[in-house]
Amino acid sequence: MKTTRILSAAIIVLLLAACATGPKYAEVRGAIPPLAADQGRIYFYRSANMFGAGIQPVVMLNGEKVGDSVPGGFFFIDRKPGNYEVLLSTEVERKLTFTLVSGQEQYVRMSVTLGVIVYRVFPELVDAATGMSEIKDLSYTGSVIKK
Amino acid sequence: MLRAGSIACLLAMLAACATEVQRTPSAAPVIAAGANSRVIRLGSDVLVNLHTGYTRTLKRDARWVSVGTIAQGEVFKPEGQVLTVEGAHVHEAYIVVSDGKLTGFYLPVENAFVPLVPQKALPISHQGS
Repeated sequence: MKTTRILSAAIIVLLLAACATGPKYAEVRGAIPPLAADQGRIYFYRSANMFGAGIQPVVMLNGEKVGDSVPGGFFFIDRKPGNYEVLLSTEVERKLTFTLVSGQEQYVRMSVTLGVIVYRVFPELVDAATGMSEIKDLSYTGSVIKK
Repeated sequence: MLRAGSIACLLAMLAACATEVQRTPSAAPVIAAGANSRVIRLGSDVLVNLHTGYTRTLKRDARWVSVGTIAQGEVFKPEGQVLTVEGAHVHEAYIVVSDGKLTGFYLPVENAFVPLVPQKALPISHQGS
């Protein structure tokens, strides 16, 4: 009985530790710089769903690491217009391809599904209204925002 | 018991192997000289079944802006909606329309056409520029 209780507490602590801990969107919103005229912005985010919380793959954009997929976290990057490919380092390779034009904001949601053995995290493109509404409750996990 | 578990495991593994989106290379959409960008809207939501088993809904309140023509029809990019086609991978997509029917999807990154079989009549409620 005591062992079960200790084990449960340990699991809860582990799950909490797996979640993003940065400032909430509302706290960093004012510090997010305006988009340069010749660039577009890509937001990456993942809900705070605890399923698969231990699976935190690297986020690759056109072969370059741009961040980690952390439950409850979001970050953004600015890039030149062009074609982009997002790939997460999970057990199954599933790419997302999309275009980015100047002044555009694209939102990439990273969703968790149950695979054959372990949970998987997949990228999907969502519209701006959906992305913005879902990011509001998340924590910023990107690099320090330069003012 | 063991056999049932094995079958369930096998089914789960098969389900994990999504079909690749079947597509053919396409030239980029060409805009006719002097033509204004046409805009269409749909009178109702349209549910589309993809050959990969996934479904997509073309939303009634989206604007579809013409970005040119390819061999299979006129290509419309959505505004107010993100459209993707999904199989083993997920690709941003525009719709391709000919004679009021959805003939398939244009993938702007891959420069490719994904046919829709059978084609689907679209309830186009507004056309303008």
